[in-house]
Amino acid sequence: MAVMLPNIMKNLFSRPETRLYPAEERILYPHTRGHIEFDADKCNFCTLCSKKCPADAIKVDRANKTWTLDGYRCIVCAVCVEDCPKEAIQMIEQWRTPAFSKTVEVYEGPKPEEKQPEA
Amino acid sequence: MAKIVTPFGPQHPVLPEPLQLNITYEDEKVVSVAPAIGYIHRGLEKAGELNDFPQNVFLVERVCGICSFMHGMTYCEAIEDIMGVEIPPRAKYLRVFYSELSRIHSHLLWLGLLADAFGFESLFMKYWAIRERIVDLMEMTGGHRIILSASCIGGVRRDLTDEQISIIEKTLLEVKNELDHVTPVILKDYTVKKRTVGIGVLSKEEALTLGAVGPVLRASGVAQDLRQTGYEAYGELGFEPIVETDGDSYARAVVRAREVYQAIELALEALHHLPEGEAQVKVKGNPNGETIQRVEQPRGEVLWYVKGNGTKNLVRMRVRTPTYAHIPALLKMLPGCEMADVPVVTLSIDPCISCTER
Amino acid sequence: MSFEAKQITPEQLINETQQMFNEGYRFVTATCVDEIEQFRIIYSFDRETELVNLEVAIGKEEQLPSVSGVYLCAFLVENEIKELFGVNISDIAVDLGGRLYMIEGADPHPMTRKEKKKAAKGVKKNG
Ligand code: SF4
Ligand code: SF4
Repeated sequence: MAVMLPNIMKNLFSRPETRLYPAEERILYPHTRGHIEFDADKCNFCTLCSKKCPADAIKVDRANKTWTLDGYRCIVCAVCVEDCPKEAIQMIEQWRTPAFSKTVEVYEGPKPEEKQPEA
Repeated sequence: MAKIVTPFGPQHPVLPEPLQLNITYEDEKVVSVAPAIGYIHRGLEKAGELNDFPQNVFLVERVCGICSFMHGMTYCEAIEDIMGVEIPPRAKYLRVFYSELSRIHSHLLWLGLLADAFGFESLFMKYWAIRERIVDLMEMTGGHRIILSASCIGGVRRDLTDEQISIIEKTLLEVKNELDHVTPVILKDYTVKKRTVGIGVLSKEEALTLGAVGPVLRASGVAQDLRQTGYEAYGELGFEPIVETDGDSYARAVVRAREVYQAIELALEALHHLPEGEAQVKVKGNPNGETIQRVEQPRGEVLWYVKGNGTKNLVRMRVRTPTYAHIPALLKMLPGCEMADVPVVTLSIDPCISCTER
Repeated sequence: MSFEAKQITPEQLINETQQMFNEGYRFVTATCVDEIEQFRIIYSFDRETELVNLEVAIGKEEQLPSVSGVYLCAFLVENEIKELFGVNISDIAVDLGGRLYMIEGADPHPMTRKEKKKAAKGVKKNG
């Protein structure tokens, strides 16, 4: 017990190690892998990300120009972020929030027919 | 005296993972032990044959939560070995750094759990508070608290900036300072000694014939550590294995408590000698051939066998993890000890059942 | 690159292993590789960080003696190989009877490989 005594004394008079959570939030580091965000305008639907993804979380449909992310399968490894030739995927520090049910995010790119009038 | 059989686990307060030991007691003495594993077999080796080999890096990191980086690293080393890829020197030093960071985190976690196993809760919290700072460092560098995903085939994905290096150096020195207050408790405290000295003794001969590895082997007086083989940058960093001779639970705790200091030294040393240059080389082609790679993890030696046939799928991927090698040793340690010592002895091998069953 | 392994026959296995034991080697592990026509089993031993391998090739139906009589600690890995690959290993010191990982009624020997390219289907695949 004698060896532990200095630690106990220190504990009694020092600040708590924990944070008062809702009041004091943890500062996230700039390179934390939180979740990925997709920008449909930059993507050219090359399907590279869906081939490289180790967790099979991305489905890309080249014909219909849809990009689907199963966010609850994603292991936030950042492979898609590194490998995307168009830099259409971004890593955001904030973690995904808990949810009651699993959802899939579907993004649609501009359809070729619709794109022409715009241009 | 009548014999009774009591199951220890699969759910037990000291076991973070499901391992069942059917223990036969005579009075309160353990007579014999029959293990039962298989609660969390995930078929990971088979899954490794279905994925592409670069995707496997992320799969193998999930063999074990604690030695995550080192499994990924060993797998990458194996693939690099087959493909004849030489990784840049900076990557070698970074791998040493990340390995040692994992080792510090794993040993601190274990020392906390050991304290918890014999009911020393304040010590447990103290250790975990210190560990939290290492975990923060991991998040700062690797981007995740536990699963670093820092290793990739051809080097290291996460390079360090000078600013990060100075933060790491400062934090590691602070951690060392804090440990100076806590480690004497494990080494000298009366309660701790009472619960660990002479408990679960494994002699040198038994350790060798039963195939014990890592800290368990070194606590039994065998100076063997795979880092001596000088993989990655260990050959250039200079290193002596830490050995104790008693072979009891106390010796195993002492080996780990001292290895934390050694790991801090090695991590600082690796950062100090960090060469300039690239941390990653591009790797083209598919592996064709087979190899065996061994690395010293926090829990001991891990062996990876990888065989590729020139396609992007592997033919066979196998891992023998340290706890797998420790189960026969555990069956030898337990008989003869008291019922109340079973948790301490079981914990003293640092069991990691997810690793064992894969 | 790669690794060295001494090729031996199933009959030599026990004697060779005994010799390793006498020379003070530590048993590391056994690795089974399914080569479709036959099994290759690589036994690894270690002495002062030097790795030595013995390799046995056996037909799918042949019987392999157990080395757990020499190295008791081999019983776990031999049970595993027997269970997951269906290698016919006889006289394992502690025979768990195919219940190390698998439950009653499960598909036997999930790790065996069928003909080439069969493995590509299954758990995962996208286009
Ligand atoms: S996100 Fe990037 S990698 Fe994926 S389909 Fe679009 S352009 Fe290709
Ligand atoms: S971060 Fe990794 S797991 Fe998530 S979608 Fe991208 S590649 Fe897939």
